[in-house]
Amino acid sequence: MNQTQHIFAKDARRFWTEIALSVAITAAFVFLGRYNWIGKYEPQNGSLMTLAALVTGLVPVSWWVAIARVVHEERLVGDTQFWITRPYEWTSLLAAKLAFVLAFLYVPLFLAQLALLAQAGFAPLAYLPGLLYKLLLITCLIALPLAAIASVTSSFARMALTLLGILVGIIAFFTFTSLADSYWTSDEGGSLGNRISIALVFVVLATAIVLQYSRRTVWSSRRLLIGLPLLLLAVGLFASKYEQAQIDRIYPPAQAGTPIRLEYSPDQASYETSSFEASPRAQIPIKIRLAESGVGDGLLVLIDAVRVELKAPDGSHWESEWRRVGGYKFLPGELTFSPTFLMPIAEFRRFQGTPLRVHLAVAISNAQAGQVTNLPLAPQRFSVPDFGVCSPKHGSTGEFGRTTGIACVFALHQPPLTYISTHWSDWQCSGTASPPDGSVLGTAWVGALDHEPAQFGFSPVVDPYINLSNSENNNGRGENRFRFLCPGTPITFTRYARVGRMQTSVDIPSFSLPKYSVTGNMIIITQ
Amino acid sequence: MNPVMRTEGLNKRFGKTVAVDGISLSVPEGSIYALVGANGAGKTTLIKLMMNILRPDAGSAQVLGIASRDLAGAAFNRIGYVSENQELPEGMTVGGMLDYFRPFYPGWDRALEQQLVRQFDLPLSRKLKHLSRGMKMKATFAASLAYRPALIILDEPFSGLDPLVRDELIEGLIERAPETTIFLSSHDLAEIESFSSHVGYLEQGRLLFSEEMTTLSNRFRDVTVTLSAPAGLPSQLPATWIEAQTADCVMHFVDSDFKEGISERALADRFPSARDLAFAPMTLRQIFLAIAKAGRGAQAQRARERVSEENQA
Repeated sequence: MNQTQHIFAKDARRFWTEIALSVAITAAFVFLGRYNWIGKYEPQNGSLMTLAALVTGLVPVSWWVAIARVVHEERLVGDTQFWITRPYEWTSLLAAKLAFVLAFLYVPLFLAQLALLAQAGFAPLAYLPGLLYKLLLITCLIALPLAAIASVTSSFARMALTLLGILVGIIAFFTFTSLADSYWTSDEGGSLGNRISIALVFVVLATAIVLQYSRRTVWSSRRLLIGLPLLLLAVGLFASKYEQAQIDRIYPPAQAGTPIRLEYSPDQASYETSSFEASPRAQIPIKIRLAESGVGDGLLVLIDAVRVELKAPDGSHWESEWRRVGGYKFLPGELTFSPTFLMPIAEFRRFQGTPLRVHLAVAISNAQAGQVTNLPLAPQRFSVPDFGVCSPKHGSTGEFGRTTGIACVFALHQPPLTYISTHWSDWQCSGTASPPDGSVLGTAWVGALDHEPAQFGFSPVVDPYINLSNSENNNGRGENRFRFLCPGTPITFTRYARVGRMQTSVDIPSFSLPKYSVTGNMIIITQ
Repeated sequence: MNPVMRTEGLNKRFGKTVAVDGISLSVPEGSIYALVGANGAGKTTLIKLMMNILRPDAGSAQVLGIASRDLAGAAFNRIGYVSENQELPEGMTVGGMLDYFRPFYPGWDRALEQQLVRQFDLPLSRKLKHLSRGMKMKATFAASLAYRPALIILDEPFSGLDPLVRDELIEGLIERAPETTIFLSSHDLAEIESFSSHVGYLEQGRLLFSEEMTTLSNRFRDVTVTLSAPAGLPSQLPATWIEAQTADCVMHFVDSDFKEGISERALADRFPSARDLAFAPMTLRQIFLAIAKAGRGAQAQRARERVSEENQA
């Protein structure tokens, strides 16, 4: 038996309780994990859904305990450990710890993920590359950080304090800085930033761990770990600036007309009031109401980002950075919408009360309808090819046993961007199959144009909420009542794929910033 | 004889505290070298520097021909290290610990292991965390001797142990002495005097001397001069006379450079009217107490002189 196997066998004997606990939690995760999504369409399983959420939360905790215990068994901080004057080869020690984590954490989790995919109605073996990518994300964001922190702390208690400190630090960072808000990440650029960040996390954490095992130079490793958030921040800023610089390349100006017409559409009738703390760093959100039209049949236009330039009559001007506005999707028809840009409070005050010329640049993606699947609503779970696995969603209490929508699950990541449409019934369906009355359309978007091979998380099943429109009926007496989907009702799934990105613009000759008033330390905006 | 351990100008600071101050020493092969000094003198730090547990700020050390900075892994097959502060795999039984350590050492002697277990009366099935301090130390000894290391390093191994356990451990150690080199630190002089062949004295991070025990014993004498009439301390005393004092007709000091036949004649020449000259051999404990007191006296004197100079300035 070589040294690696010998240390591994010792750890396996020594930590059998931790292993048993971790495997038991993973088994419970498999057994209860399905209620994470089943609970959403079978309300009677609500309590199991809570339990499933709890068990899912316990999985990373069990990883923390197991990794901390096995690393601290031959702790790397201090000068009184028995093993540092014994003929341990550091490579064997590190390999033994790695083997422990692989054997007792990764293998059970991998098997659990296969089982969960099978439970959700997917063929697990078809998703092996995505599952491996998911394990890579878990390695970078869970296992390596835990192992690195364990390797520079002397005990479980100190590690817990360190983790608590990191948590407080992260909360403080996002609370007291506006850096997170200032980022604009395109799918392409965001992906670049994410990939660099993940690579950086992997390299820095792995280096810190190897350094600790090979030399036990604690402060060198600690400095590396302390420097990591700063490096990530720098990468984030770099990626954001890079994307800003690349935006004209990613979204070239439209050459031969745009797939959408945008016009300024001031609405004097509706006003909204919002308030902000009057700090010098405050950013005031300004809405510009636009009307869209001209989207062709079979096409979809998504508004990705906007940039605004304001010009005053005296020649002074202010220009925002590109800012993601997300969520605006336009099919053929006419709609109004209000993209928002953020304006620093000092600039907002400078241009207040001045008639402004506005140039609004809009980055858009246009997509084309592809595969269309029509299926009748089945009474039980049904598979939608190249999409996911869906189930009728049942109402609770008053609507018990009735179908009040659909819920779908997906393997590893969001599905391709899909438009779901069906027809509601205002009346509870009778018999086994009632035809829809066809009067009320219910639609929903789910998925995304771009996605990574897998989303981060312990569960391989993704279950986004599908909110079909017009799900409630106002009976005219101020009461909302659920609408129903009857068995056999046709449901249409239309997949969209991106066909291009481009830039368009809207020029507004006269625009006034919203009025504001100051009350105490608050700014009240009415627009 | 080749040195098994050698240091050159070894230095280590912790903040403003100099723990080890330019130490150069050599430990001959086959010796039983005792490093002595008061608590806080730097003994443990020096050992940790040599064992590559700590890194020196300056200087170098070699252990069994390997630079201490490179001491790792297989190099510890030939070194047995026992420290009073060493953590043990407390969750293991004594037998489990021996079973665990055995495959690490190609030279592990199973027969010797069993002999040590019997000799130290080790309870193989009891967990280390349930053992007394003395029993833990015996288990550690067994786990550090069973592979017949070429060098045994012991950091305050007998500290806080009852005399019975101490004797058992010393006996076990002496049995191994013919085939190994032993380097141990202690502040208890009596316990090492009986079996050490070499001794080094550390004070405030400095090595005051390092020599063979017999040379040291021969070099020091407790000297009593009985004069014919009361007299004060003569001026211009030799630097090798330490702790010199007089009371009535008796003058007393420790000669740190005694030479058989020569020192007696020199003293008789210096005090021709002396009624009696007595030269008593000293125990190690007496020698170190004298050195320590002289050191502290000199230190206090230096401090007084510094304060006086500062006041004058």
